[in-house]
Amino acid sequence: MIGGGLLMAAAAVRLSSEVGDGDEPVADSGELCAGVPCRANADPRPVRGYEAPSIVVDPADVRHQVVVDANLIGNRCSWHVTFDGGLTWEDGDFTIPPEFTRCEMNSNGFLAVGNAAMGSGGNVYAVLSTARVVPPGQEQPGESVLLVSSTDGGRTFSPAREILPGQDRTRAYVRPALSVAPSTGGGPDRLLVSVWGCGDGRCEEGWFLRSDDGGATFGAPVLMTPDPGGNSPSRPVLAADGSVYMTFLRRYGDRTAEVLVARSGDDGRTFDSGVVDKQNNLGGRYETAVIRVDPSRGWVYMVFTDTRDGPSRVFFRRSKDQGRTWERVVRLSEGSGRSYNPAMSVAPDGRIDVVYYRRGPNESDDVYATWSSDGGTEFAEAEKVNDQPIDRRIGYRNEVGEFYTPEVASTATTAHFVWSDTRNGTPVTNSQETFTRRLDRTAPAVAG
Amino acid sequence: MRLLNRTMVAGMVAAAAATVSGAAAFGCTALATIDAQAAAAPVGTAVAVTGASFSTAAGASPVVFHWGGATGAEVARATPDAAGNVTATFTVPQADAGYHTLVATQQDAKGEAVYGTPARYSFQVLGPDGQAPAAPSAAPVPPATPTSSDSGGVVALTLVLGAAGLTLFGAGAATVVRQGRQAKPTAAPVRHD
Repeated sequence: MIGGGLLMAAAAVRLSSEVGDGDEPVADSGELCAGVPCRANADPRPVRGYEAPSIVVDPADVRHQVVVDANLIGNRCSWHVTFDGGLTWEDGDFTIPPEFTRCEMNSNGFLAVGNAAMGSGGNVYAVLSTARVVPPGQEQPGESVLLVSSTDGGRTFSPAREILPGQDRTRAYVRPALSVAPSTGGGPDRLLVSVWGCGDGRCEEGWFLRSDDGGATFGAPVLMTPDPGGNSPSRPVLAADGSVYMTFLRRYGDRTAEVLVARSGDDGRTFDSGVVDKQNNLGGRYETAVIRVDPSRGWVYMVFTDTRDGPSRVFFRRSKDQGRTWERVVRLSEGSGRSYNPAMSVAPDGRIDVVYYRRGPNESDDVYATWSSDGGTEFAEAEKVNDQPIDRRIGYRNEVGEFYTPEVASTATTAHFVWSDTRNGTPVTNSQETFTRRLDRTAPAVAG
Repeated sequence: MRLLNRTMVAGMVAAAAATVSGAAAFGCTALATIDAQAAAAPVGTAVAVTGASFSTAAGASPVVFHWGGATGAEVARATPDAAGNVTATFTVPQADAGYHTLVATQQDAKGEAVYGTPARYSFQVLGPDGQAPAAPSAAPVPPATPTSSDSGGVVALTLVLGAAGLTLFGAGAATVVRQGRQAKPTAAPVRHD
């Protein structure tokens, strides 16, 4: 309500100030997608089915944002780009080579789309997984990992290109996740990719691959989950000292799970891993423990969920010694509904932004966020990011599961959130789509 | 293929529950989709439609295309081929120009909706002149840049919007005060030892 009031008041003021002056911007895009959330697409069709969003923001101009998601209508992987802070969007579907299936749910039941990442200049990358088309009667091979890239800030993307071939049913690569270390000296960006390895109906492997030439070539994939395996490998992150960090989980039949942190000190050729925690329902069914590195302090942060306190909650841990030891767990979420699907981003100055869904009444979700400006010593009280409950009776929750997180991208002064929202859906259209909101993070999170 | 995948997924779940490591993947396959040869056409036009990922299981019903929702009028039906694909043709019914929802339903042998259905599609009915009506904008639309000739209207709009904005602002502010919600980060409820 207050957001709408602010928006209308701002619009009125802006109109008044513009009478007779057509040279000024006609609307203040600063309030759009900030005071109130906004759609992250320009799709005029009433039937929409966007899920699994990710967002990247240009640190040089936070009005430039790229959202990548899955479009369940027609089984596409889509992108949406704005250069004016969400006032207007341009949309597109990634071009998948005809020898691959569309961006449909894969043989292991996961959506094809991975996430977007921003490199240097106008480079934007995204990953997805899909399988090769085979003649009728032949067994479907396992999914491959494909890469798309843009050199114009996400306005256009190259056709998808296979970077990790799937094999037969004994080896499928699904749920790819991408990080990019932007070039700083004019050279190529470095790309780090993680992917689940599934074989014969089981997903017990986490794989890592790396490109040092902007995605032109990738090294051989490295298995980073030693015996007895593990799954849910996190998005890899590259620390300033060259270390590569990932997490993975080991889920047990008694509903407990371990979270392990894997670190590589040799550019991802080998990983050493150790158990950090073991709890009931850690990571839910298919969640990942999210790991990030503080570029200003060198500390390593991790968020995940478990049920040690009853309903699923979001917890935070940090390490100041490259993951060798981890300080005690800190609970970030409260409330009666379970909290799940956390995501995290760290700003250049080390500010930590965390976002997650919290289940509400009547099969609804809300999006909550918290943040810390002192390296995770203290966090702000969680605040609701969405402005109206997300009714999951509309949309595609029943079809695709609740396995796709909201996401957050951090800049020096802003946090940009995306999530799947059903406010524009009806029982007829069943529409679900990505919404986004920007929150300013200029004041310190910690009082006193 | 669809049935094979489901059987395999069921096996995954059982295996995961009985073993120490590993997790089952979510047990679903591709969602059913439908597409039209022409995304827009005037009333009375015959339009070819295709669909994919429908069930081929024994006892599964034909795929029925409805206009305006899953319980809307049937406009076509088709039986999936061995790969789960369907093709059909429907005639655009009498309808206002603009977007309408085409829905494809299918039931299993128990009469329940097949997983991944109904499939939906936005079909645009064109006006008699073949023109599409003005589409609603997806993103918030900025006010048009005023010109000298319409500044009177803009001033009036400004007053109306301003009054409405102030009213809503006041109501929102009152709500915030009443609810005591935090607008800024507060002292941290958690702390490392």
